[in-house]
Amino acid sequence: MEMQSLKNEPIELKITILKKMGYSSDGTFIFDSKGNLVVDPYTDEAVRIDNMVILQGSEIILDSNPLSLAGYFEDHGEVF
Amino acid sequence: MSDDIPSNSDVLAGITKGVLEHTEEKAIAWVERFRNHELVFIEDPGTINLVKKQRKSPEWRILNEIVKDKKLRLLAQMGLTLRELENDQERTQALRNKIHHKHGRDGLHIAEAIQNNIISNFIGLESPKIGEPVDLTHKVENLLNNIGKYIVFIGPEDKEEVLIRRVSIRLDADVPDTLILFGAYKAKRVAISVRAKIEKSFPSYATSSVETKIKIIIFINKLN
Repeated sequence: MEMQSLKNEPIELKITILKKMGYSSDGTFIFDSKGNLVVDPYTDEAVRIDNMVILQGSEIILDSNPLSLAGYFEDHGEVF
Repeated sequence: MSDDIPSNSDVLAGITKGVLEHTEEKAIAWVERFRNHELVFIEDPGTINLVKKQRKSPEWRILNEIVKDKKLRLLAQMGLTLRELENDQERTQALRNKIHHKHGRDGLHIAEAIQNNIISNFIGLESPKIGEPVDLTHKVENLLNNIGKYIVFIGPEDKEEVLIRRVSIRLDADVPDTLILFGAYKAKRVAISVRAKIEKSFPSYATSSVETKIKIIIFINKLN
């Protein structure tokens, strides 16, 4: 599976991707379709748009850090 | 200005529209590929490679066989990651903060015990004495789940007398099979002094140690 880096992409593109997936953003944080803040379950911290990853498995949005990514691999396997 | 030549604002509006359309098209194409399970969106490939590298390491292969508890497995991987990041103070601190925020002080200590080779040395000492792999799993997980009880992390400001009292009380009250002391830098000297006193006061326990120039791990094991 290809890894598409969003690191150097403009925030407008990130917001548009999120909108296409049913999320929204205030430019800093991310909100689900019900307007709830998206919180990373592996860190219990709100995910920031400038450091997010969107992974397979019912569109999982996490913070890009070793704790969250290792947690994801534990739960889903190394699918990418 | 001639009617045929567009104004600056018209040009700007055209560019903006073009950029927006391009953004929209790119987003639609990427999201479609995401939905087809062809791609994932990441931020920094370095972070993913760092995690994958730990999961392929020889030490993780051993821990992977022994540690079954989900939370402990994750903290063990974070210990290996902390070790890998030891020369990058900013990233180390950021990860320590995240571990502490989610898993508390004990969680951070579990990761530190892996980071500092305490658990791999413990496994090396215990493996020959244990018959079934499941017993080793139980022993290692019990140690990690009760880390505050079985491992004493000596801080640079800890006083020798206080530590001797603390360790003595634990040996007297809990009578553990193993108690581990860990000290680094300044605390290494303190750990060595504590060991000497404990050896004299507790003949029913034997000590052994593993040390590097800056760190020491002291195992205090009950004699059978």
